Amino acid sequence: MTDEVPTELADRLRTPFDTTLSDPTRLRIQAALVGLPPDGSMRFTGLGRALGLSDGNLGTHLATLVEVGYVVTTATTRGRRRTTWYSASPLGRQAFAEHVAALRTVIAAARLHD
Amino acid sequence: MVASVVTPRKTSAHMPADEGAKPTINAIESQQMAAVTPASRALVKCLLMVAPRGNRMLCTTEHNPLCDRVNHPHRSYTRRMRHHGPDPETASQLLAETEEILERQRGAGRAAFTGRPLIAWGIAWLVAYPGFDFLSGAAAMGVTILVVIVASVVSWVPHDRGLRTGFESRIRLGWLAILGASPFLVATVAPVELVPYMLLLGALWSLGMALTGIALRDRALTVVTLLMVALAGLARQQHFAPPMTLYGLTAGLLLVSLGSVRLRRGRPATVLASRGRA
Repeated sequence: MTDEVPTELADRLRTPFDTTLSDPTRLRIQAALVGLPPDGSMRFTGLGRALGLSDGNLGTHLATLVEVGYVVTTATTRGRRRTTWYSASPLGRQAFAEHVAALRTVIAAARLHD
Repeated sequence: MVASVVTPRKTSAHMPADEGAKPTINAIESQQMAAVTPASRALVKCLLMVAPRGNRMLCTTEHNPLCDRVNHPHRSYTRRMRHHGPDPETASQLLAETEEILERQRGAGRAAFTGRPLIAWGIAWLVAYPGFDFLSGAAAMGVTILVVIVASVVSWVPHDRGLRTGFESRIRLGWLAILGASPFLVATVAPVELVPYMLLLGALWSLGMALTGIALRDRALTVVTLLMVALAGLARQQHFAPPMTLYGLTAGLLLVSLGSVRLRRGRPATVLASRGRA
C-alpha cells in the first residue's frame, strides 16, 4: 500500500504537530525566543511585555516549555538582584521548526486543493 | 501529522449491530479506512486538505492504518484533545503571527545591540570630523576625545535591556583590540598629516564595524560601514569640500540613520493577541 501514496505527501504526513507547541500562546513564546540569536536570551518581564501576556499566563506556559526542554534558563546575579534569563534550547528550536513546517503543510495542502 | 478522515454519521451507518450502539472511534476509523483504501491517493490529499472542515476530523491515532501506509511512527498521546491539527485558516493565522514575532524579535536583537551605539558613534563622527576643519587643533582634539568617550560609554556600559544577544562580551573584546591597536597602526606610517591620520582611523574603525556585521550576519551594518570605508578614501581624493567635514557628515549621517531605524523597528511593542486558536 505504501507505493500508492505519493512520496511528497507521505513525507508531509510524517511531519508531526508538536503537542506542546499546539497551544498558540506557547507557540508565540517559543517564536519570541527562537527569533533571538542562538545564544540570545530574554528576561521574564521582557517576554511578557513583548507578547502582551500576563505574568501568570506567561509563567505557566514557560514552566511547561522548560519542563519539556524547549526552553532553558540561566540565572545572573548583580549585587543582590538575581535575574533569570530564558532562551530557546536546540531541541526547542528544532521542535519549533518542525511545527512551523507542519503548519505550512496544512496551508500548502489547502491551496493545492483549492 | 497523520490523520484519517472520519465522518461519524456515515460511518455509524456502516457499523455492525453486534459492536453496540456506541462504536469507538478506532473502530469507526478502521472501517472508514478500509472502505476508502482503493482510493488512497485521493484520501491522503483529502485528509490533509479538507478534514478539519464540516463534520470531519483530522486526527492522529495510535492504530491508524494510514500510519502504516506512510510509515509514520505512531503517536502515543491521547487523541481526542491532541491529535487535531489546525484548519488551514487557523494555520495561516498562526503562521503569520509567528513570522511577525520572529521578525520583531530579530529586530529587537539588532536594536539592543546596535541601535543606540550606532547613533552615538554617528554623532561622534558628525561632531568630531568637522571639528578638525573648523576648530583649532587642541579644541578639536578635546571635542573628539569627549565624543569618543560618550560613544564608548553608550556602547559598552551595560544597561537594562531585558534582552541579551549572547555575543556582547566577544564583540566588546574585539573592539578593545581595534581601539588598542589603532595608535600602533598609525605609528607605522608616522609622521603623517592630520587629515590622512584621521581618515585612516575612521576607515579602520568602519572596517571593524563591517567585520562585526559580517560576523553577526548583519547585512545592513556591513553595507553601511563598508560604504564608510570607501567614503574615507574618496574624501581624501576629492577637492570640492574639506575632506574631514565631507567624510564626517556623510559617514555620521549613515550611522545615525541606521541606528535610528533600528531603534524604531526594534522598540518593544506588544504583539496583538492571537486571533486564531488551534
